[in-house]
Amino acid sequence: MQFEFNSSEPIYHQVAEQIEDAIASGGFEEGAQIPSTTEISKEFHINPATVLKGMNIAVSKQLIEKRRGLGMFVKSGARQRILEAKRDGFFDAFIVNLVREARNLNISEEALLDLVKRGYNQ
Amino acid sequence: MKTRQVTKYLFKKQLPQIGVVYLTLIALIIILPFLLAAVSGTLSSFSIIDQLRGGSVSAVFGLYIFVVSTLSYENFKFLIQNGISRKTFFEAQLTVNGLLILIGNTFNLLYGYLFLSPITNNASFNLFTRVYDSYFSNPILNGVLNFVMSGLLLVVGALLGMVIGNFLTLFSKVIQRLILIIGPISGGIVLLFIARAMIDHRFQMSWVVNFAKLVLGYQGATSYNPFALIISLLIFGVILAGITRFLFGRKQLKRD
Amino acid sequence: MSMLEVSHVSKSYGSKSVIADVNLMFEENKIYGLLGRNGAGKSSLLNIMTNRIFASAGEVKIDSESVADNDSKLGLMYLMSEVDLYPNGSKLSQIVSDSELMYGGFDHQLADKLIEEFGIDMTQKFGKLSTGYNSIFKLILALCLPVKFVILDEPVLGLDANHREIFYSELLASYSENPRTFILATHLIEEIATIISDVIILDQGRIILNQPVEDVLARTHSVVGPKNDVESYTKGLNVVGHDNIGNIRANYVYGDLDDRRLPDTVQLSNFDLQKLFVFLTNQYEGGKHHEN
Repeated sequence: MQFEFNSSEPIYHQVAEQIEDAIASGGFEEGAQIPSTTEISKEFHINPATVLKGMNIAVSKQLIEKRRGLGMFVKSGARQRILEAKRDGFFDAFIVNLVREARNLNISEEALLDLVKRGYNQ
Repeated sequence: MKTRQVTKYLFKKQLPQIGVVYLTLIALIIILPFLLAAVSGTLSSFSIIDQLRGGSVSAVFGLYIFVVSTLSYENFKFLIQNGISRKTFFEAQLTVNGLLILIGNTFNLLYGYLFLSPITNNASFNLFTRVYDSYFSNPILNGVLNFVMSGLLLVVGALLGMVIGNFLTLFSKVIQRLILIIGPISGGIVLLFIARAMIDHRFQMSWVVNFAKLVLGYQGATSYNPFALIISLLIFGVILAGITRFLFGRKQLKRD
Repeated sequence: MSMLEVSHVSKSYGSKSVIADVNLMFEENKIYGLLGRNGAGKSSLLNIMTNRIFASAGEVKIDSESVADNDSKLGLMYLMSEVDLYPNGSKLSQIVSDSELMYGGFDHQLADKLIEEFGIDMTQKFGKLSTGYNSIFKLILALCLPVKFVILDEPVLGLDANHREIFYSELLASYSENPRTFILATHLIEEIATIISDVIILDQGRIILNQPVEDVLARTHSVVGPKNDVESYTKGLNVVGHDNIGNIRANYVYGDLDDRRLPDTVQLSNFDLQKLFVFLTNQYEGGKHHEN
């Protein structure tokens, strides 16, 4: 887990995102235990309640689960769920901007598709 | 209430000081004169008994308990840092002063009756033995009354110290110094004025004299009633304790 | 439930008012940041809360009982302050055992760990400590004494970067282990911005902000874009500060936005606590400077 916080976005949001990213990248493996609220709090100087709030977002997204007395564990299928959610958001997050920028630069649809192909071939 | 803990803390801090006081006393009334005599070549006429007769253990202890009672700001700082109320500090300090007086007074009287009196052929060694000894002839009763009176004198001395010290801590350092300079000077001038007025008979002081007689238990040239002084000291002590409690309640951290 | 309540507290020295009708409620197990510039009245307020000095008016209560001259309530608080109230001639270990006697407990296990981590020699005399170790020693007491309200006035004064790191980590570890209320009074906001749950800003003896950090941040908006667009978008909003870089204007809004349509040319984001603090306490001169 590689926390880098910016101070203008809610911290709990960033905690949830960082957990998600760590699972997506394989940093946190499925079935494995993730650091406890206290550990994250202590390591990154974040109020434990804020960390917990971030964790709860990840719990509600079915990415991690609490095992009583043991701690938080990555749920099986979590990585798949994240990738699916990212794929769903891919169009809004990247394609819309890509096309808008291409239009600004007068790149035609065909030219853009060629560029995408070139990207894949690299 | 944390009176017990605070009492323990203050007592542990102040008890060793008594030892230092008595050691200093020995140095002052025996060793220092001995050295002076040795240096000045008058060792032949040096007498330990004379030195002991001249030095007053009670007075020195009284001075110590007075001075130590004026100092309370250091302890206040530590105690308020540790969440101790002014009320508890007051009660504990009163208890500790009482204990110290009990120890000092017992030592003083044992020293006087068992050591100083025998070796100096029954010299008077404190106020009671000088003035009130003849009211009763029973030595045990006199011993008890001496203990009570000497103890009360020390209590009043301590309370006087507490009143003065705690009054001064209400002020900043500059004003404290001003009071310490102006107070004694103006007091001295007033006393001087009164003394002159009394000598000149221009000023009728009979009520002052009568009041003094009442407090001291004066009943004729050689007869003083010890109970009068004891009761006067008790009343005075209660008044001073009341003032001290009020002053403790006004203690604050100073801005420096 | 332990609740520390400051109720209508004012303090003046002569005609100079340092605290003006302050009302605060410190709830159990939260970490508060009490922010204010130097001389804003932080230390005076904390001294009044712990009954070290008297308020000119008002009252401080724990669970609706006044703390004044009240051992059982005063004993629930520990104020680590810049002023030293310990005897200079006492050994640190002696001060620890005396403090333990007064508070009726001390977490020696945690203390030993902290002593080792900070590398402090407990046989030293208090008066001989450097500024940094003076702070460290008082922080150890603050974390190890059994109190419900740990109040730290400028806790990292004189601490180097490593020691600060240790302190913040141990503060949070100790808080997780044994939840209690912390009040961190400081003007170094950035370091504690993610640690505190609630922020209180004191300015010239008055409380000008008292809210959960999250709510505060949600109400900060920086509006950046061409000057005219930004100005028209933020017209009527609570603009607390601004920046100009060439033709680009940044207006900083504290409070809610309305449903005006955001022009394409204008970017909206949040800004941080440090910036807000600077704007609200009128330290900010950057904007004026750029305008000239």
